[in-house]
Amino acid sequence: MMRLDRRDFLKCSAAGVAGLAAVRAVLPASVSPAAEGRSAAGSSQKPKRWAMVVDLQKCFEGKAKACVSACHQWHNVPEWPEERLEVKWIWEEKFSRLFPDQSFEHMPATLRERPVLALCNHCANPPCVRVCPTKATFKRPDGIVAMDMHRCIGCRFCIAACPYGARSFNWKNPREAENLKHQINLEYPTRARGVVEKCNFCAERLAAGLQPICVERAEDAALIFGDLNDPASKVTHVLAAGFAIRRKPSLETDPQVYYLISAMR
Amino acid sequence: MRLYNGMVIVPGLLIFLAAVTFPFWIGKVRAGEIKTFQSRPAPAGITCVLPKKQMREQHMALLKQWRDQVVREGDHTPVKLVNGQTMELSLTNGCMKCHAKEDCGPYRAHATYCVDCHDYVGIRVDCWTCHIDPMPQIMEKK
Repeated sequence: MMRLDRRDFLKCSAAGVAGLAAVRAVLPASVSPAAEGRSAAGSSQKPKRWAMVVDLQKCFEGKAKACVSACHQWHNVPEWPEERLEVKWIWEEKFSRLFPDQSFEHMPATLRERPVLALCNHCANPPCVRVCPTKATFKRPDGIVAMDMHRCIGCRFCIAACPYGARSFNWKNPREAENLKHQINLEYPTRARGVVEKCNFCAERLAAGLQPICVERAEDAALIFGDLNDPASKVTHVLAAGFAIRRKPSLETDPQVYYLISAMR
Repeated sequence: MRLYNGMVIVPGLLIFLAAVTFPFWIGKVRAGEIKTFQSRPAPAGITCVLPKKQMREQHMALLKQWRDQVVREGDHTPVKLVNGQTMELSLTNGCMKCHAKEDCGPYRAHATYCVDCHDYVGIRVDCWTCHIDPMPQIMEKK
């Protein structure tokens, strides 16, 4: 029988590991079928980078309220009378509360007090995705921070992590809310008690070639939605030709919802 | 050899045996109460994505595969049916387009087509806590 002493064993192991490393370095990067499929799907162009622009001159009051109710109706979001149970995908908030760093005493009161639309920012660097222990929240290649409700265990780490308050917890069974008892949209599921939910940039509508429901309802380009990786898209143009701000940029979450202050002429 | 405390041990053993073999004899005792599941013929001209036998055995794996494809990969490519038509990958707007048809007679009594069979085999599915069963709306329109 061949005897292998300790020294030879170590030599063989080292050679084996070095050999494996060499093989992996030589093989092309896209060995896994998943990676291959994804690059093939978007081979003709760069992956999309969905983003939204909220025009502060146009989107407030009645128009903003219409967006909120359109979204909540479409996605079967329950309405609870108690504020502590509130579930929201898109909502109105005072400018000074959305942008505390940009607000000051002597700014126009009409702007400071103006109710502005807020929604999930679909951050390029999303803290909610980082903290999710089950990967129920994940970032899609097109930038949408999506949720897989099948995986959500309701730990609410994401609620704690999100600096924008964009996430809500289902404390009660949504089907028992008065609004969902009477009217339910068959195009989109409800959620169950004990999961977190938030805006999904209407991923299901984008897949069907439609615009997000809030954008569709807003009209008059009060909300603009598109692909930031496409130089010809309207969002790219608007952002390049005006002055827009984002919520809490100093946190480096890289939000993809932009608030247009003024379009330059 | 003498058995001490036989008055306690023997009945005790009998009770133990009865408890251990419970799953084997309870079915026989309650045979009359258990309903037999009656398979219903599919409405004419409708075929699923796989032959019936395979759907029975594999639908759960298929549903999970489609779920991951749609939710996690964002791939909504419709699936082909046996008869060449296509179906949207959606429980409510795909599967239930056929399986909750109003002319499916006995299905009316149940929340969904699925419940019928799953009740029989004693499996609780929680799909319908979120996904919408279109049946009540279909019935309301009538």
